[in-house]
Amino acid sequence: MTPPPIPTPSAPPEKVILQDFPDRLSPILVKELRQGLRQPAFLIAFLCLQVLMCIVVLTAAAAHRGPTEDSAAGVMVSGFFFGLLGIVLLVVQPLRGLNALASEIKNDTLDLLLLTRLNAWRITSGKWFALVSQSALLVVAVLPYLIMRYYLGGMQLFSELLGLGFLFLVSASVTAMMVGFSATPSVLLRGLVAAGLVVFLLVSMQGFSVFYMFRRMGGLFSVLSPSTADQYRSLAAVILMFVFCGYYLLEMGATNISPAAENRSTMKRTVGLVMLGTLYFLVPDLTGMLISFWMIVVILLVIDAVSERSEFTASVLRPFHRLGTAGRIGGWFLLPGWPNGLLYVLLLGVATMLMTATELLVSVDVDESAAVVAACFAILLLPAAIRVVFMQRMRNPFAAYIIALMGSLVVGIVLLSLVAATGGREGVLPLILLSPICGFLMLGGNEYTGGVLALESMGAMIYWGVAMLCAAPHRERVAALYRHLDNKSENPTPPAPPADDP
Amino acid sequence: MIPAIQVENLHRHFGQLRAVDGVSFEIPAGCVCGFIGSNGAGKTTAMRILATLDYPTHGNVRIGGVDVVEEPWKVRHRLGWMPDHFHVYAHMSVTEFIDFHARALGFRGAERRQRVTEVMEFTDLAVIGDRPADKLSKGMTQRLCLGRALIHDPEVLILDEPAAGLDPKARVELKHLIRLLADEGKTIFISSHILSELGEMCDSLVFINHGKIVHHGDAQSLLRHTESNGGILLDVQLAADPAALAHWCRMQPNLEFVETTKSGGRLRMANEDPVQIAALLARMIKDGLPVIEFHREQRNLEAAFMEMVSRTAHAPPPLIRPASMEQTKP
Repeated sequence: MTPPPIPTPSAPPEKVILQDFPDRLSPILVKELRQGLRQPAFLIAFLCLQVLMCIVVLTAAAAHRGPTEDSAAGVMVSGFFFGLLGIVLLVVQPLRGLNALASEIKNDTLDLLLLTRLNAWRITSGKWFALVSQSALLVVAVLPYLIMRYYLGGMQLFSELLGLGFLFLVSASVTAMMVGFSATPSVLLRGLVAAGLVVFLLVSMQGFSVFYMFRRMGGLFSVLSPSTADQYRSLAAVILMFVFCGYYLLEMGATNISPAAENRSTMKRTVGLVMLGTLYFLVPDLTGMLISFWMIVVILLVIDAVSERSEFTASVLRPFHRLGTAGRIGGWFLLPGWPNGLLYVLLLGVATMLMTATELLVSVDVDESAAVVAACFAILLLPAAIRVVFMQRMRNPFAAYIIALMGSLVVGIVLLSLVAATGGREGVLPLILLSPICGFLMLGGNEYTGGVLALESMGAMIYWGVAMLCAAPHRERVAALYRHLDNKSENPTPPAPPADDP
Repeated sequence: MIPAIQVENLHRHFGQLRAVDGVSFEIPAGCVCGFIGSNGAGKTTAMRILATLDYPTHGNVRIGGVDVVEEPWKVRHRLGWMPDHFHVYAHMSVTEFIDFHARALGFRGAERRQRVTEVMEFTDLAVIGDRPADKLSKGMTQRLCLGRALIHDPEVLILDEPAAGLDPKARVELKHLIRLLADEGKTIFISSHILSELGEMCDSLVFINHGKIVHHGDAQSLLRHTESNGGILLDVQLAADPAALAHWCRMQPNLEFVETTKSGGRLRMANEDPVQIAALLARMIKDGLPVIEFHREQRNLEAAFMEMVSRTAHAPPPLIRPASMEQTKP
């Protein structure tokens, strides 16, 4: 239906011609591309990359003495190619993402976006996709140099293209994480993440370039070129982990900016459970790999679940209400907010116990792996309990949780050092209930593993119980919302006239 | 007939602070209603709830009969929102800005171009369509903000301080645009500090103070209301130190010295009996006050507003006990 025109001027207006992007593209993607392609950060990165690659290729061509199997000039060009592109894709582009949602929050423009048909997920994913599109543009723009490098000799075309694809995947994943993290209002936290990313990736890139130049990427490319079924499954699991971590951080960002009437938690928690199930069946029978990947996913899910805002409106509850008893039971685990997140953590704990029990049948270090898992849960649940007991007044629960987590880790390490310096390791055991990181640090093939496992498990249950006690008012509010929906379904109000959809 | 805006017992609590405390009013379709209150009175909080950007602790708000909490997405189709602080994106032209919002509101193809063109013509932005949106003057930025709110031709417009920071020319132009929209039959709920303009523009006025409605009616009813309760104001100019007037007033029955003006003072008299006013002037002259001007002050909305605020100024912001710090609407 065409809306009635607003006051028409005397002469019919000329239509505005703006056809730079087609209608089928997401509006937020169009906006971000219009802005992003004009931003100095993109233009400078684009021009620097072109100029530097040009210089490198010309220098290599001047030094070139004919194509050989082991051309030093060719290897040098590839090294610079991956090094420079890596810095742009893994440092510059992700750092731009770290400001994506923060700028909307800071300038109060987020409200205007949420009043349109864009929901929090479309806004967040649109911003990420725009950055990835710009990364793709940067990659395509430097591809001719890789083709020119082919004539300098010593090129492993398939492997280098695979390496480029892997670099792009990692860049997309890290950018997604940064876009998701950009919804955190704390400037300090974002600054720390930015600094950490730069240091970590620059160190990695240095190793990557040196490795490439002197070892010609043989080892890495063999991982990227699997031959056995187990290698294929391992590679698929690695790729899946990058995709999941990127997706989940984006969802965390979307949750952070979503209004109280929008439920993002049900989807992301369900995807988290599906991811764990997929990992269980996908990852080959290498106990260490499955437990590592599983715990990375669980840590992400737990941190998010126990630090979510607990505000939502009756409209969020309606789909669960419609499903009756099954819906209410599902709601315990999947409704937004940390109180329901705690129940979801319980579900994760049970799933982890089952996974550990089945996987550890083939393992020698049964107790130690179980103790590591228990310690991880205890380490993550202690700050959750601290936050809900002492830090309820902090406006951003995620920032409060991270502060509590960092604080508990630092205090634990200091305590461990003091006690271990004075009385040996036996004195540390009682400390585990107060500071679970102590138990984690004590592990390592010694006689304390059984004690650590028992104390860490007990600690995790205590912290979970304390946090659940603090969730009682929330449960009452949810019950009131259900009663409200019960009343509404018994006494429905006459429907409002339909809105004029544009 | 369903009111365009219906607010019933609206509460919004932030911790212990009751930002909005039991507000109720209705605005019929096609009306222009002014929302008046001092800073921190709860205007923006209430308006944000109406615009589905916040949610009530208690109470109901309906726009065109649709509940803002139950079906916010339906409400958003019906209303246009203009915030008090409006930031535009960098690296984007005026046309691109409007075009982006048209896309985000679901317009496609020729219809989108048509809407963008109409809105830009209506707000006089067409001539500066290629200029960077973040380099506009305050007046033009407000036009851009209004244009953005009009793209989907909403039935209800909620305008939070649209004239704040504008120069007189831009203010007149904005007022003109709002009048045109009112003539189109749109329901407009507008907050502003420029009360005289609201008095001219609005069919009704809602006064809020400390989160509570203190008056709801037209401008004339407000003037009558405050005047009948507060007496009349007299403006006296002296050819001497104004302190003498203040000192003299303290000794007079039924007379209150309100404030010092440039060369005299403002007095409040308990009743408006002309005989008593004349007697007051006679007493002043008799007591040696060099009166050079004496007239009854013509009350305006600002004075009425100040009167209204001063009456409730002694009441502290309402607080609630921590036990009731709930955030979720049942």
